[in-house]
Amino acid sequence: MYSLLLLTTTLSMYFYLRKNQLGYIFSTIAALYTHHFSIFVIFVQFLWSLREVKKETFFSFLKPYFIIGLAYLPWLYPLYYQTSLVSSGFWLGKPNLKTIGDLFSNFFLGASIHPLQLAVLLAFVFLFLLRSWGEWKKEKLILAWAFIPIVLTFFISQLKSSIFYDRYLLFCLPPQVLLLVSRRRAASLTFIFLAIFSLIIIDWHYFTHPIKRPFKELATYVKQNKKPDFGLINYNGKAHHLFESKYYGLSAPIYVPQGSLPFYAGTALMDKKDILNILPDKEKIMVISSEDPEKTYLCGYSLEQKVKFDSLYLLWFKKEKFGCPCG
Amino acid sequence: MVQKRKIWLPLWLILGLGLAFLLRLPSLFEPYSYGDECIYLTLGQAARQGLTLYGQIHDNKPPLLYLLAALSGNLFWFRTILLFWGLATIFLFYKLAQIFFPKKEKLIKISTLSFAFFSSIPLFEGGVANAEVFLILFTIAGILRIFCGKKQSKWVFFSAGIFFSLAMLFKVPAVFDFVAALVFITILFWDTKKKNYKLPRPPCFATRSGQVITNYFFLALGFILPILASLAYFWSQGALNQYLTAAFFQNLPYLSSWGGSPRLRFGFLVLFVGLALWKRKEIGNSLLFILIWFAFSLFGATLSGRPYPHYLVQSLPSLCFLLAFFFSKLKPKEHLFLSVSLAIFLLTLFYFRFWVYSPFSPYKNFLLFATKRYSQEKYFASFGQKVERDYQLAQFLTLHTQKNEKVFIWGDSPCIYALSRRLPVGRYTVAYHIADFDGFEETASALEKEKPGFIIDLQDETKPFPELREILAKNYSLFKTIDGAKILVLYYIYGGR
Repeated sequence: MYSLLLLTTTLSMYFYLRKNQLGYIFSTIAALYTHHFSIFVIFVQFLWSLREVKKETFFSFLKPYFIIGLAYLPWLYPLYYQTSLVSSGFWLGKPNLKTIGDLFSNFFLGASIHPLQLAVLLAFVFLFLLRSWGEWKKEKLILAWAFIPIVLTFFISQLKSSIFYDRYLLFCLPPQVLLLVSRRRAASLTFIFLAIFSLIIIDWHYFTHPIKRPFKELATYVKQNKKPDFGLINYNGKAHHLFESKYYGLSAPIYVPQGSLPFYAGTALMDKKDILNILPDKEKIMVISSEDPEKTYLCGYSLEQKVKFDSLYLLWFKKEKFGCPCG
Repeated sequence: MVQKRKIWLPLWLILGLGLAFLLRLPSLFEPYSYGDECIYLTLGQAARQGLTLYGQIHDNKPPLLYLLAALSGNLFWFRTILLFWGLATIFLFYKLAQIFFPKKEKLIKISTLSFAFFSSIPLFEGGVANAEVFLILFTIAGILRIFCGKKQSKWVFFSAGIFFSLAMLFKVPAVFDFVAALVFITILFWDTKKKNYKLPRPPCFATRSGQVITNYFFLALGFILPILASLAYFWSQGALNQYLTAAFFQNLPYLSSWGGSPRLRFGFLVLFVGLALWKRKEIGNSLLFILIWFAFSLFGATLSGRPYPHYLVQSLPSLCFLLAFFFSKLKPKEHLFLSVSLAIFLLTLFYFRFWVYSPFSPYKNFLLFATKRYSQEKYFASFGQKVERDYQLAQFLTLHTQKNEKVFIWGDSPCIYALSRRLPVGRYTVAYHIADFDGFEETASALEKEKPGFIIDLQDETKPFPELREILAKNYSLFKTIDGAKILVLYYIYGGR
């Protein structure tokens, strides 16, 4: 979705600059239907056009925005619903200056750890320093595209629920890269190549060494050891593994004693039987979890055995004689 | 009237050499602390005492470095030779710059001064007597010989071959500089055979096939002769097999022992050089040669995949020429190749995680020491916590053993041998050589046979050596402990003294 957001917003800006109205309208509608955050790019475009608008051209200026607005009407209610859900509480923390630093670090260096990230950092720092910044006034639009969405999101996040997250702002990356690689000096090309070579190696490493939990092994273990009278659940910790369980053919609902899951836990993709409020009445329950086993607690059951699969656990719980004191 | 004599070196070069001298000067007063250097000095000491290199004492480099260490005798003179060697290298580099940048004074200055600076500061360990710092003099001399021969002469190529060979007798990866020269000569000959070829070429380059074959022959002859001479010498000493194994064959698995894929790197080398040759008509001759030289020398420097900064000294001459090209008018393809080359160099630094030494702290520490604000102990400690211990152990050995008496140190501190001027029992000077070349049995039987008066166990070695433990338990007792290192004495010596 975020890559598609990147593509559609970049296309929107491309057609905007080429003054191709049809292309602009279609790509902008596609961007809006991909992710709400594309509204920030439209906002930048709107502001930029507003600078040059005259009385006699006012309606032709508004025309594309009117058509886009019209095409977006069917999605206004989902937007309202989503916004009200987010307002009621969201999992993101309030951003601060460090969050902004992390955002650029994630954009340019990537989130995974690789020794060549230092080379990329050096390359971008030098590209930044070597750039001829003298004519920056000619680049106001690109600067606005690169930074206004970040600034707006940052301030909106200070007011209510935070919506500041790197992947939502991914569409700010193209103008930032354009800024870095344009207005070069003789030595800039060295650092562009350094960044390209390093990123190729980092990406190669990233795609050939995926960080993937060994759920397949866990599922095989469960299938081999689970008897019909054993219960099987997903523990609701920092993360649940309901979708992996389904993918590997395990029926392991999430145990949520408090009643319901927050909407951002993927409830839109769950049905009723995916959530359990009461533990199954079984002598033994197998629990899929990525939490610390010592901190995994099931009322009326005690931890009997733990099987570790890298950062995943399959925990065996046994019913205690006196059951759960709370009933 | 007295006529003013013309100084034959430009003032800026004299200043550059003076700067290099000053930058290298503190290295003369450094303590014995650099392991490799101490191994060379120990082997040099062995050569002075008449031991056969490789046969009776082992290291894995060709012999010239050890002979130079033997000539110097101690660290001060080793580093002094290195200092003047470095100045001579800078001078030859300047002569080569004059050829690559004819009538371009600015580029000559930039390349020469950057080379003088980078080859002298601690960043690339220019002040440490490593093989790379010595071999580049011969590499530059070989290239200089090829490019500045005044006329077509087989002796030009013969002497160039000798220089490349001498470089290789310092360290095997120098062979890649020789290959770079061969590739360039071949391509130049290939092109000059074509009609309408207008790029300038060095005056000594042949244009007729017969001359070219003669040139190749003499270049190869010059390259092979010194190597053959060394083979003949070690054959006469009965150490040919050990020489071949240690200095040449063992290098291949040893050089790649730190991982990485030499095949992949070779693939990139072929790709880069192939592209440069393919686009050579859009690149000037000087830049083309420097690109080829740079690619091969960097391949040589990264052959082992080890992150020691002095390995990069091999690429330093070509790198400094490349840097200077940035200050010239470049065609688009030249700019592209230049940028890619420098990006590859920077990438190499990060990819192999080359160690970075502070270029300033050795000077700061030396100044504090020279102005007596640092005591000798504090100055020595700035080179590592074990330096003081090594000096104390060496002093102990000097006092308690005879000059020609061998000792054995279990650990990786060859500086104790070099400082005390005592030789090891067995062929190995450090524990990691015993482990890397599986010399446990050989060393144990040498210990059984020679029964050295003293064995030092540095207590920081984790490699298991049960035979040594057995020998120690059977024949030795603890004599003294210095800074955690155990000095063990042979029973009957202990009783006798």
